[in-house]
Amino acid sequence: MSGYLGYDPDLLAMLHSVMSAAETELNDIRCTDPDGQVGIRTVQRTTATLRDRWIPFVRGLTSCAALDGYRPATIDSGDLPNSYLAMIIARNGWRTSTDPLDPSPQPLTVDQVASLATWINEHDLDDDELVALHVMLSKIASSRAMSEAFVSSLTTNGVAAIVDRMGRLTTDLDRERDAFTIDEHGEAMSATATAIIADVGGILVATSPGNPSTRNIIDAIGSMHPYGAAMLVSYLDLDARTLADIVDQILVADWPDVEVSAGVTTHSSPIDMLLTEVLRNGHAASRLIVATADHPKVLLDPRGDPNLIAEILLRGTAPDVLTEGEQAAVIPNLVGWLWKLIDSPGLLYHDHYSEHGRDLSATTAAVIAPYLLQMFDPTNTQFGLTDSSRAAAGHFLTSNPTLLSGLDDFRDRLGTSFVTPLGISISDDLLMLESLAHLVAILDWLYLHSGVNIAIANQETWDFSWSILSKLSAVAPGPYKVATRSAVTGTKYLAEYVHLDPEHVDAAEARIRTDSMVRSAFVAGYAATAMFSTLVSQGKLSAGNPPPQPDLDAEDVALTYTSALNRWAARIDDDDPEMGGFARDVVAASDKIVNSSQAMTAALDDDDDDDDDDDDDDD
Amino acid sequence: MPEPGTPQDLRARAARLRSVARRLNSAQVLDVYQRAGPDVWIGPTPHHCLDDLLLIRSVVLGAADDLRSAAHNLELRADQLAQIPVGIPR
Repeated sequence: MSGYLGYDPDLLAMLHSVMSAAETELNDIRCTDPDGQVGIRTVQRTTATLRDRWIPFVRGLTSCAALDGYRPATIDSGDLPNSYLAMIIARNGWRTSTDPLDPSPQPLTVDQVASLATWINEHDLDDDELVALHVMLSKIASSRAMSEAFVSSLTTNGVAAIVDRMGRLTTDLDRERDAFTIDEHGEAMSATATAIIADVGGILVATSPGNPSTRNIIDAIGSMHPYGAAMLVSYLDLDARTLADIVDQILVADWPDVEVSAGVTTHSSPIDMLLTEVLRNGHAASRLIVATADHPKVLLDPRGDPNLIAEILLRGTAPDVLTEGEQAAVIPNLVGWLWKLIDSPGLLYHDHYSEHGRDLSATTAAVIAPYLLQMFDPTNTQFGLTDSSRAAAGHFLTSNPTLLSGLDDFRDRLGTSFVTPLGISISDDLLMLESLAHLVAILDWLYLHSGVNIAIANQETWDFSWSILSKLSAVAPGPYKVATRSAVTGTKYLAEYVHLDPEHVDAAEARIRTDSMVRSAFVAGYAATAMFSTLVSQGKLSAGNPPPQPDLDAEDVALTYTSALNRWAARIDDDDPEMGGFARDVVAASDKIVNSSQAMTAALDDDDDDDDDDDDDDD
Repeated sequence: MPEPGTPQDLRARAARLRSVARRLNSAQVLDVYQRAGPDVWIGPTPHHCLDDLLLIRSVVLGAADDLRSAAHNLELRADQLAQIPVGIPR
């Protein structure tokens, strides 16, 4: 590989003059002393290089004499390896010739690196230059000083040019790979593109966080090609907020050539790569949720893997990763959008989720579960919800059995989770039990309304069917009219007699309320056991005399359990009044659950009645 | 002209060596490299030329050091000779 030689003819003529004078002067320096012979001979041998090689060469160059391998030339504007040379020559108006010597052994200098950055800022890259670019970038990345020089001269547009080019190239090559048309050259280019992005990442890491140019470049990644950007961020150890902002910008930008994921291709989509990076970063999921608070639609990008999106929704909305203010800003809007999605099967997003078997209702339920108090407790003002919006939320949940069943796991965990958190102090424990009791009541209230809605719907369908049959009998031909009507009436009677008719609404409500009370009694039993365990561990009660558990066979499970628990406390009090006081704490824990549940249910019923009244008024 | 091998002769030789060393230390060739840098020409060949000029500079400076060192040795020897009493056979 030959290079180029650029020179200033006038300065080179001066160099020739100086070389000649120096050579003449050295020739005049003689030493006859035997102790000086060796040194002088060494000087003369070395000087011969000057006399025999460099002086004639420079003279030949300045006089345009024919020199073997050195011919007048111009450097092509797209010649990346010689970009530094071309820039200096152009800037100084020098002459250029070919240079038969190999240019590669020369180490990069700060000036060369800076001019390479300038070249990248001003030129488009073509495939032939990518390997050379990788060689130079990898050298730069290995040195902090070179990286600083490079980044300081590189504009965000320059980086965007590289990242966009690599993103598009990788996208095209991935498509070729999917179509089994990629060849060895394509595979090599794909590897080179990845290596170049890694080089850029290494340079940014080497100069981060001190270099303001690096900061500007990182802040601009969100506007770059998603595939290139996704590859680049995987090499950067970004903080959660920066990563979330980048991902948000890319999702909002909606680049047209980004492919969907989830089995469509043999490789990851850039959106999936970014979502994976978010999940890999400790707090990025919650920061992404916050960053998209006023446009949560982008989170449900149909180009992304629904499982990754669901994971981000779950992790990013957990109460312990959001401040109360963030929860209020994020959850109502996000849940509103999720409901809209569930309620609008025609949306592209919905189709995407259906195609990939993701139960969006289950994800929504899991997002909602930790915030039931904020959404449904009439006394909770954290989300600033109005009664009508709370009622709308309630109606939506209770009219979507799939969504409501998504809360089953949460409800099942509530009772058993009592045991772990107790033991702080009696008053704190009771306060916490109150919140949990409210949750149980809210859940039961939602299930009650859902059950009643189903019963009403079933009854309406049943009645509608028979009314249609009755009308048919009315229009039957004369001779058959009476017979048909009798047949319809008789069949309906028979169907109800053998319980083919749906459960009556009142019966359904009574059954669900009874179920609710049984569940409440069981949760109260859990609470009593938890409080008892706490007091035993503190040495205040004897482990050998545990409180009773609810009796499922009892006619009124709740009442029977409350009576049994009170009798248990009275017995302990009779034996030891001091222990009796602690036993009453156990009863108090149980009562707290029962009373709080009943109070919350009453509040919700009142709220619901008010809402119905409002509806009537509206009508 | 001092008699060869006497302290005076050795000191005269040392003075001549130091004189040559001074000339080498002030030789123009030491500064030629400054006229052959990237402000004059660039490319693989200029790079090699610059390397050669720096090598020449290093050799010349080394030779000057050697000459001064040889002069110093001659002066030491002259001093030793001067301290030997006259008449005692060497």
